[in-house]
Amino acid sequence: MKLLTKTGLNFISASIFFFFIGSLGGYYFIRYAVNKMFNNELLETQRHIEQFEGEAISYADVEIDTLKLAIDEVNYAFTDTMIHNTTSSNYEFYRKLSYYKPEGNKAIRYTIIRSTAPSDLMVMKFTLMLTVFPILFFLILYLVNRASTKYSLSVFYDTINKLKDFDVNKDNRLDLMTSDIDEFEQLNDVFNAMDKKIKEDYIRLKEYTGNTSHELQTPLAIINTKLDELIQSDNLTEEQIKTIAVLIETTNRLSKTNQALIFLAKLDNRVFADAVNVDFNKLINIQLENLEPLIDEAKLKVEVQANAELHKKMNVSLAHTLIQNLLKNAIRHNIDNGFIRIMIDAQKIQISNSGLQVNHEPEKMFGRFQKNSQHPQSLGIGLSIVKRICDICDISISYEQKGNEHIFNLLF
Amino acid sequence: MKILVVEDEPQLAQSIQQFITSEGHNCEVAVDLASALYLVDNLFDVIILDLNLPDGNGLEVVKKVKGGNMQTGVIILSARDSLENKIEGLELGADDYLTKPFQMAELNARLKSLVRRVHFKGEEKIVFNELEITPGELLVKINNVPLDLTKKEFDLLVYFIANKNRVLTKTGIGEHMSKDFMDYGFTDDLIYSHIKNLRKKLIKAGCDDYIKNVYGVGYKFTDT
Repeated sequence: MKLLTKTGLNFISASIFFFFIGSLGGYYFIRYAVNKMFNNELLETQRHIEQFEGEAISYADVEIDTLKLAIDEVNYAFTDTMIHNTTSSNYEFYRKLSYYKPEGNKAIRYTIIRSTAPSDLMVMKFTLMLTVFPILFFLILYLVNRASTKYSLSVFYDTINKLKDFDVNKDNRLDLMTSDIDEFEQLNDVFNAMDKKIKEDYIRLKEYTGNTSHELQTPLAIINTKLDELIQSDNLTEEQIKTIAVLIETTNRLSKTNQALIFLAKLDNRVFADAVNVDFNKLINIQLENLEPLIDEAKLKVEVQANAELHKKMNVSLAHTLIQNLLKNAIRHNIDNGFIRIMIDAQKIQISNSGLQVNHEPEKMFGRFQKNSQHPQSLGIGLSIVKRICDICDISISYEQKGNEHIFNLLF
Repeated sequence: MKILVVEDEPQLAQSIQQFITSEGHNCEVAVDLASALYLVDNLFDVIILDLNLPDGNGLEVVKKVKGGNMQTGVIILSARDSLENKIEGLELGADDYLTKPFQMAELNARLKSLVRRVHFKGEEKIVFNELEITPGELLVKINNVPLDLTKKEFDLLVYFIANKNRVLTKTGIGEHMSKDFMDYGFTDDLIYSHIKNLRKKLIKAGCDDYIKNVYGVGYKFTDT
């Protein structure tokens, strides 16, 4: 929920609550005041009656009964009552004063009623006023408040949008807007400082990775040459040769991983900046030719459907790496007698291959060291290199699985 | 042949020296830039050169050799593998560039190819029993009958013959074959099928099967 919606909702619900209490209170207060007024009127009438006792009484709505009731003192009771009007067959509301006066061992009861009809209308009008004006008032207040909050929050939204686009690999600064609101200004200061710190740390980390990888090259070279020397010896047993071969293989894996990490570091450092016009139709054919023995070995059927010529200005060796990694992926994760389908359009390359149905999350496909347990040989770094190359060369890549078909789409 | 190895890592220098000596060449080692620059005057056939030396950049040696119009080939052997480094080295006149870590067989193949280029202008023929190879023309003859090989198969055959009688691991062969592109893992099958094809063609053309399996760890090109 947006902050604006949330505060708006809070404001509205609180308003409704207090407005109800207020209106209710107002209603009862008016009722009380009106009743008091009627009561006073009734008492006035009663005084008149007592003054003109025995004389004719002009009020039609006065009853005087004599009750056989012994009471000690005067009794008042004000009540609201409804009386059925026989002419209009409606019930009408009246305020009633019952007044008992002791007289010897009898009591005289005065009942005075007065119609409240005109005042009911008043109360209703008042209540209406109490309802409508506050609603209007709250509505205007809400709209003004909303507009002002929105204006004040614009800096905040700008910050959020810029943070969303934040990429530790990008060189540009965050450059957040300045605000006259202290809290947002503080927030932006914190973010700006954080941006600087993160990027510095990231650069340092990249340098560290790069340096470490480079420093590993020479020891790996020594291990390599020494193992090679060892395996050339004449008097080795089969077991010994196999052991050395495992060592060579492992060292090789180590140096391949190391090389891949150096390569990724170089990608991050934008080493491959020199761009030429790359003909992807031709490049794909070269790569298919390269991988032909492998494709034959896996008995795969390759279909290339070139609907258009695709050219892009990018680094040639990156283009080769990109296509080769994708093709090798399509070969490796294929099935016997399967297929690889390549479709080239003016802006798009689609590489799809048959394979087993697997439950992996598409987003995780491009992560580093994401391996398929069926292929322990793979380093799990090929697709992550593909992704990095795409990021750098502004190619959007997506993966989807349709049944047993795995599809990679490259949008240029 | 007289070969100079400039390498500050003693273990590595020793291995390379031992290997070159075993190939029947004369080998000297320099462990820093100063002694390398001093030794260069002795007119070596090939210099194998590390760039990161304790007292300076190995490219100084390339400048001196190529500036002095010496008939000396230079193979740079460096842990720096960026394209800029390679281009800089090759532009100064270095003949080849090999990145650490490397396979000894690869260094050997490059060394032999360099010697052919420098001393025989690529016209030298490699002869091994009934096989005759002219690397400059990508030509293979078996008992004087030309054999049609793909570029990869040809390259593989030259690599095998350069390293004859040595155990070549699949790893090393894979590295040699994939040197043109960034290639990570996954080459074992590719190597296997390339070698299988090469073997088939050779045997079909009447050549002996010189490519021997070594306990499934690699191959050895040998006639013994």
